[in-house]
Amino acid sequence: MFDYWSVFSLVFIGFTVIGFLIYFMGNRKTRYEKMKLETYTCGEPFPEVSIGPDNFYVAIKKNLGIRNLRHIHSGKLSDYLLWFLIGLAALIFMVVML
Amino acid sequence: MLEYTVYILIIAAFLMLVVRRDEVAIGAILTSFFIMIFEYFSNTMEVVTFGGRAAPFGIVWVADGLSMFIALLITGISSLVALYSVKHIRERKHRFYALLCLLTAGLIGVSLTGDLFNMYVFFEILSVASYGLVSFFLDEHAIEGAFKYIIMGSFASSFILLGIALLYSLTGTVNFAHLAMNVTQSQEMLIVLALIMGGFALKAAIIPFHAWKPDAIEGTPSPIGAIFTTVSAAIGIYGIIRILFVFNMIEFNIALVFFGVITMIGGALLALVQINVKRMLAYSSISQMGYITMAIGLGTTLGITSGMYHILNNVLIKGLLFMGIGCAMYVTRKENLNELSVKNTPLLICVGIGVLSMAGIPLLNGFASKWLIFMATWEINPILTILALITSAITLAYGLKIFSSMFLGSKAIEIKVPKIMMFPVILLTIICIVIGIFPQVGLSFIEPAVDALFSQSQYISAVLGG
Repeated sequence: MFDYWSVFSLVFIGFTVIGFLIYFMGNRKTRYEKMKLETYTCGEPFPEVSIGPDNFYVAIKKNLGIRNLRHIHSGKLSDYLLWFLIGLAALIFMVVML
Repeated sequence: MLEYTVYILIIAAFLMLVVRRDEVAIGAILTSFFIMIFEYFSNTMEVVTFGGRAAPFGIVWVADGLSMFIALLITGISSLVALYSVKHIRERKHRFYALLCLLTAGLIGVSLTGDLFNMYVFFEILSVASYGLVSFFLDEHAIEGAFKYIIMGSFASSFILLGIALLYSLTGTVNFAHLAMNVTQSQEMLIVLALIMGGFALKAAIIPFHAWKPDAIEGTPSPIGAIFTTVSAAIGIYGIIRILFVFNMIEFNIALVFFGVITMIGGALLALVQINVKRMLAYSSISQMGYITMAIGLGTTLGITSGMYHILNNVLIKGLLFMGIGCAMYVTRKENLNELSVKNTPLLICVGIGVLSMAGIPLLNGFASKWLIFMATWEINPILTILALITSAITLAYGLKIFSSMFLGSKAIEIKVPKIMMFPVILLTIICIVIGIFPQVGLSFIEPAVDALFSQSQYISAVLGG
């Protein structure tokens, strides 16, 4: 009953393996002419780019309203205690009424 | 023999302050772990009576499948943390180990007791030790985190105590088995149930009772973060399960499912935007507690099994990640992801496996329990499955953020990690892989815990006789 080695899981693993194969084949070193090895933007050598943790998922942060979720975590103890009481009231309501 | 685990740990806690030798605490914790292994595999429900009075008047400890499962996890992770801390903790080690022994004793006591008031007493012991450990570094983060934790923890404890007092006034007993025979599902009783559940929900850091956790974990030493995000959180869930068991309400629970879903998604979204790695893991732990709460709230055999399985896997994965990332923090003395760029191949492999396992990638243990959670939720409502899948994707997103920032940065520095710190990390990694490939190993480990939850009458007869 709890064994996950079913047809579905094998298909799932199969697709994962195919995904990794595509990834590795896509990143395989290929022989190019020397001039093709350098990447240019408007004739200038392309600078090395690394994304810092601050900039990870910026678009998600802006568009999903996670910032608001973060802002309500004000760090104020009184707010947290209020949440506790609201949560407890909701819990009592659900356990007793529903 | 069970009671000796707590005796040994409490004696070791006080002895540590006098003799100041790490070996005393490590020996005590390892001894309690080996006693637990022995008891777990003896496969009998042991009832220990204290003070020469039988239940329901005397205090009893009951080692059923569920209690032993939790107690074994507690002593197991505490043993690894004790070994890991030999190097990780640089100063005032005797105080650290004294508090660690006290914390472990409190956690074991909560899991093994068969008496609600005794459970509250052990809950307070573990809370006091936790407050001390959160404030251990005595810097501004530690003090702020500890202060918030003390206030919120006391708030929760007072509600648990109020619930116990009301329950005693209604039934005249605090013994679990005796309570199970006397409780009804009247409105007064259900209010009591909600009060106690609310108190334990704070320990499990279920949203909206979670706010103390990121602040507390940010200030605490990494090994203690490993305990807080694993067994300490699991003990909150255990408290909720045990009280539902007493009320004979192991069935579909809309409150648990609702709060579980909010916690699962909210924790993951908040983890995504963190820069401090300890805060990120704290929110991640909150999210995983959401999965567990939701699964247990489903009330089906599959739901309970998947929830229990995820408790086990969360302990392994979060233990691995906290201690693994803690190695990098130990060497660099940095906690922010933009400063924590390191080169170390064994660490890269272990943390990588931890991250993938947390996200539920196949052939790792996280997948085994999440797969069961998806199946359990699909039986009840497919929308829950879709929400769980989306949360899994978010988990992978913040997991990759940790991995990328730590190991793929251009300014990475080569680090050398002490062997004793790498030992628990490698051991947990191996267990994660083994359980991932052979999920039946994990399932056979949690089976007694699930069986115990569905056999209330056996528990009652073992404690009260007849």
